Amino acid sequence: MLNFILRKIGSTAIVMMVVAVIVFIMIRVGPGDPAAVIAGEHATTEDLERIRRSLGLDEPMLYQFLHWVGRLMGGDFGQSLFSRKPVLELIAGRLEPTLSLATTTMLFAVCTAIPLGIIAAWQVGRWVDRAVMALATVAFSFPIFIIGYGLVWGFALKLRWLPVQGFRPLSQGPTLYLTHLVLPSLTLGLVFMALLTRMTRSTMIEVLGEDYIRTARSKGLSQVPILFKHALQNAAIPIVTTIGSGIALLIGGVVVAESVFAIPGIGRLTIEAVTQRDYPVIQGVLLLASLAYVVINLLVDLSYGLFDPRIRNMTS
Amino acid sequence: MTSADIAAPSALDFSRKRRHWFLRGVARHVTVAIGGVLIAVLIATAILAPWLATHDPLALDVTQRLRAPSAAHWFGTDNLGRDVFSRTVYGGRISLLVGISVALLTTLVGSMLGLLAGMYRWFDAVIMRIMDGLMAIPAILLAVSMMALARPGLLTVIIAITIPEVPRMVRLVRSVVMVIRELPYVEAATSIGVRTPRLLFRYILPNALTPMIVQATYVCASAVLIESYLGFLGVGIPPETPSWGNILSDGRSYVQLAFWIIFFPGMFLGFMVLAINMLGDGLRDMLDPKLARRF
Repeated sequence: MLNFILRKIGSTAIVMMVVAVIVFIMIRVGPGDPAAVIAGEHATTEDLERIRRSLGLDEPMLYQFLHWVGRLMGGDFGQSLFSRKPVLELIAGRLEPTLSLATTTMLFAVCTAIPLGIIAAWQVGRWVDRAVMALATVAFSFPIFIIGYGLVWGFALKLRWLPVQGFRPLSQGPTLYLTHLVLPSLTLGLVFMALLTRMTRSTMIEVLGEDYIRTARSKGLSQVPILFKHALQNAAIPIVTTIGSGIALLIGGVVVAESVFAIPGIGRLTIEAVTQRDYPVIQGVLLLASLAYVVINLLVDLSYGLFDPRIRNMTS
Repeated sequence: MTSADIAAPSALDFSRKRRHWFLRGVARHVTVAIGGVLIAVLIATAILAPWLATHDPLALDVTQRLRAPSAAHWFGTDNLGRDVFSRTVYGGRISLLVGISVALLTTLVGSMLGLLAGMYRWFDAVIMRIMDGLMAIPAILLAVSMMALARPGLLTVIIAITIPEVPRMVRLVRSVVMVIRELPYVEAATSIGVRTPRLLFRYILPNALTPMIVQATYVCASAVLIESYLGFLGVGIPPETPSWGNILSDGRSYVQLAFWIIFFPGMFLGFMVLAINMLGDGLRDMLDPKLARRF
């Protein structure tokens, strides 16, 4: 088991190194000279020189890379070209809305998708299954902002139950905090739910065809324990893996949802950075988002032991 | 009678049989049929845009700002008095162009890298590490960030959407190649001296085509969606082009005043993506009998 953990951590570290190389190269091989882009049209040669030097672009590539990685390890992600604030500080300031939205979205999606997927698998081929699958395909196909504006129109403008947009930090009280999160997480959660329902359904169909399920049925167990205990336990690994890899989709979705609901999170920070071509901020967001994704998937891999004793008791 | 005369009918028979098999498959798979018809209608709308459009999609008319849908303007007008119906119809061209280009480009690059990775171990080790790294960066975030690097334009958008899609295609092709290359007929081909390039393209690639086509439809659907997100976020194709993403981006500030600017193109977009996804699901079930039997 220890071996397994160490190997997983090792491969995660390699992936992060590759991400760092990609992010590093991206900024440098782009068709435009970042310094020229930042300086604008009326820049003088001295301006360009100064910007190049501040970005470290005048050094040899390998030196630049090692220097940059060294600083990253020390927690120095550089500073914004515009506000001059450290990148990490900017990101930290936007963390609460983004993390809140991601957590509530995930909770909603997992709590709805797993039961729906199980019911669809159980009723496979019947109308319940078809209805669930149709809902999942539609939710997966319609753009986040259409779902979002639809919900805003219904629940915020017509019924007036919920606020139209914005974010309130938890420090302003849990009611304001939660009511502002309902519509964004519902919007984003529907997309995530669709993905997860499809995965749960197809895994469960596979598991329900196994011999031990037939054995459980033939010894007279009722539907509920078969579905939720015997079958779900064995379907858990692919489902948890989908949740993990779905994090990438979730992070992307958060960027869009934050724009729809005017939530001042990391997504908005990214868009601001991209429109201003604030390269250090873009780099920082890419690195940290990938780190979050990779670490969550590492935890997912490590959690396999919880579901499968064969992995838990692996000796070699 | 020459030998060509004798050969011709049997070739024809073969293709007719194949076509019947295909058409029967389509008829049996309702999702393929619905998806296909829906896509055909949307493609026709895009191609026929110059004839269908009731107004010039770029023409401004300040006297007709933010008008609700009416007989003159079926989908209403936007904040600059442009006709939303005409813009929506023309926007379909851009979305389809982006979707199809990304799907083709992803398939092309992905299959080349996947074939090589499946055949050569050293190449596999290097390329798969790069792909793992690319997959760790969330797709929309990567596409958005790449838009900051180059002059915004159609080509930049296509490339920015393609790069995050490539790794999945590479993985798919690689895994199929790894199974196929162990099969006896490949061994037989190698033993009679078939060279590697011919082996890859004539013997292995055709057998990897089915999953590639299915994956390409999903890539196309996701590309159409991501183009609209880039436009919506204001980092897509330059704003004067009437792409669906740009129309949605323009309509964003007026969503409470004039929902129709967003509603109609959004619906077209949703149905387009839905149709492509349905086609993909249907094709998967149809072309992969092993999976289809289970459902």
